[in-house]
Amino acid sequence: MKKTNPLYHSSSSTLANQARTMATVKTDTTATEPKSESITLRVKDQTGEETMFKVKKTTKMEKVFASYAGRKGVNVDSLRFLLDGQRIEKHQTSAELELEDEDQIDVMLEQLGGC
Amino acid sequence: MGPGRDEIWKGTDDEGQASCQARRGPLAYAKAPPAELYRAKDGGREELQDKESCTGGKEQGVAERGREREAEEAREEAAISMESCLTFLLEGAEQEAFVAARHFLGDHGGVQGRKEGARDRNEEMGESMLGGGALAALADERMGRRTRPGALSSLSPVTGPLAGGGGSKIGGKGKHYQFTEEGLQDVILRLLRDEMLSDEVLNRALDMMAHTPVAEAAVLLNTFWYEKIKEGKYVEAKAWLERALGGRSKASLRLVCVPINIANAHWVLVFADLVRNTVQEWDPASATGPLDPSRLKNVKDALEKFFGFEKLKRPPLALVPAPAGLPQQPDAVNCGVFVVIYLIQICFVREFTLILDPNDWPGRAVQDGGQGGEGGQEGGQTRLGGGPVADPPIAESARQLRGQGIATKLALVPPCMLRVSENDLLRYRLFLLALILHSQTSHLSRTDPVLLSFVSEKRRDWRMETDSLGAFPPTSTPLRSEHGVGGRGRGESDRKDMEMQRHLLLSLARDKSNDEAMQSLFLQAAMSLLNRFSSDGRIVFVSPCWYESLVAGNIRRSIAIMEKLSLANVEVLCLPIYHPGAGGWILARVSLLEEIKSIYLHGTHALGEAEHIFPFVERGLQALLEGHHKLHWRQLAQPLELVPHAHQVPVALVLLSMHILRKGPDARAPSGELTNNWGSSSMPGLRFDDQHTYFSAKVGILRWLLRHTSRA
Repeated sequence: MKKTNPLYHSSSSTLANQARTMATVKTDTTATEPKSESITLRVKDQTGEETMFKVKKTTKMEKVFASYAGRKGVNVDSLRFLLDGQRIEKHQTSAELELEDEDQIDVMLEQLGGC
Repeated sequence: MGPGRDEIWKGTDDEGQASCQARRGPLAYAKAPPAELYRAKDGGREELQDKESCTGGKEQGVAERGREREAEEAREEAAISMESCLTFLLEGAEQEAFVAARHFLGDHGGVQGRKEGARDRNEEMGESMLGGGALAALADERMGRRTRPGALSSLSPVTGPLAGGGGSKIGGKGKHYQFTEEGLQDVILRLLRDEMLSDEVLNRALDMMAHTPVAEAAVLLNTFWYEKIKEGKYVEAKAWLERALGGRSKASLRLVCVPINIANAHWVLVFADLVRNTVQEWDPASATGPLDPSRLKNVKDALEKFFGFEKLKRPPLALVPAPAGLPQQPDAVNCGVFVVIYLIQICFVREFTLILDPNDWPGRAVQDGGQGGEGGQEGGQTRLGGGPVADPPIAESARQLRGQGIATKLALVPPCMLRVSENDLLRYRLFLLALILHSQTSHLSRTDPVLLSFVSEKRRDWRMETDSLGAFPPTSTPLRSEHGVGGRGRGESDRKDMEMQRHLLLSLARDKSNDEAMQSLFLQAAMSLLNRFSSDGRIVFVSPCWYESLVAGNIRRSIAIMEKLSLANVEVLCLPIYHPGAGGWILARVSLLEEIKSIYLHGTHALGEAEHIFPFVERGLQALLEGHHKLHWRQLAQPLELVPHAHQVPVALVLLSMHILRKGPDARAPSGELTNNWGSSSMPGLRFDDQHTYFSAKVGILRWLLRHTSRA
């Protein structure tokens, strides 16, 4: 797990889908199957902070969600991941969603309202 | 049309020419059909124009006298149409919903039609609005894949050919978002308990409504769109809007709804009416208007930019206050429910309300005069705080509207706000739950097809009951306890029934031990429903009360319960039995098919104690079947697979009953023998020891109960 970029300053994760905060670090650590095409997704939260995820096109988004929630230390059920305003489902993959490199995924916090 | 507009001005403006000049723009747009606005750009819009003038002509004669009666009738009609529309929607019959919606959103069929059955009328309307071919095409479309507003709109006279084929490629393949189990559980519980609603509930409701043809000329944005606007991320917000448009033309839009969450504590609804060129905020907690006009302003700015108002030389959207009589939440938890009610109001009965909405009159719709941000805000505040300007007399304005060819009959109808009583809130919650469960198909697919077929079966016969429609959402259910409470007033009994339904569903929904009485209630409801599905009466399902009264020594009552069932053709009896000694709930299946009659017991435990059940059942049935062949009881006990928790057993019993019903009384094993084994081998895909199966069965049964118990 080598750091190739000084900008990389996030704690390292044990998950296969390495998360990088604020940097488009691309390492070859996740490339277990070289044939499978991988892309970088930008997960952007409401404050505008972006977190990069390098994923294979066949990876279920569930993994990205869990990894993101784990990094942020929040329950994944309280997060909503949206692509162009449409909810992304757990079982979908980047390929199914027709995601391309550097595509942005919005992450929103659960909203409640009563009074 | 020019003269008509001028007349309005003479009639209504008593504030001097200067303000008249300032407000001329919004007025013109408010009263002109959108066709006029965009005809130059869009040839396809002419159809709309034709339709509306047509309506105007037809209605010329109805008019002045008896106006109040007329209005009242129209109000009732609107209510009924909306009910049918939403009921259709709930039943998954989108085509019918579409026709019903058309019925009151578009042309109105004249007074003569009103007395006929709603069904005929709706069909008639569908024919006249769409043309027979289009209706057929619509049906075909439905057969093929799930339709989306874009696809539908290509058939509708409102949007004409604008939508084209573009609608099909965006918007998630017409599929609804499928919750995770945790998510769905949360949503169900939130709705059933009186809790605050989360974005999940609202967004799913919006999603369902956006997929109906009713919303074809509307964009229902999700609750996160405003977050983008608030953060000033217009580019992203624009992309979302584009996607929500789904290939429809911007010019075809009449309505944009923006539900807004405030500080994670409150829901309000902002919507832009692009026909009348207004934007308003409906706040369930404040009838007097928004305390903070910045929301309106933000939405207004974003939409104006998106629709290119400046380029079109279109006057800015006018900020108008919420109409009088806006239903308000009586508590501090139900604002989410009210936002949904508002959406229904706006999407389904909007044409009724807004045309004669006093707030919608030119005298009151003060234009947001400022060009810059601050100016606009000030404009909003002035208007919101300002006193009302005299409304023109209704008859006068109706005449003028007719002169312009705008739906004239509607112009006679006073604002028709949905009335929401406290009872209705629970109704709407149940309705919302039904709506959301309706979209959750992935959970069902995990159980086997039998449940699916039960859940998705449409009750075709309901249309016969249209005349007896109660308040919407459907008047609640006949789930009265058979222990009998009798003699209650209607409102009160409605309320109690609904509460009972709520508790019933809740007891099913939450993962906790239920008390036996509640489980009995659940099984009563399920058994009586199953009887409705058992069309030939060969399989009869008996209420658990039967055994309860037998054990209690109340023979007369048990006979009375049996007498209520039609036993002429009975071949198999299914009797749920509560027997603590044998591990709780047991399903006794009594087969009368063979020469030797048999009782089979299905339970979760070893059934060692179950011996005690037989004498009771025999005694009960012998009293019932007197005069039949002499009975020879063969006593068998077959345990179900282990169900993880005791509270899940009633659900398992209902599933088992469904299977028995599906298999039929004379189901035979491959060997040719009558199937006696109803265990897992005959139920592929159903594993009672699996939590996920249980969850999906629970969701399925919830949905099934909601749909079928919601109307007597």
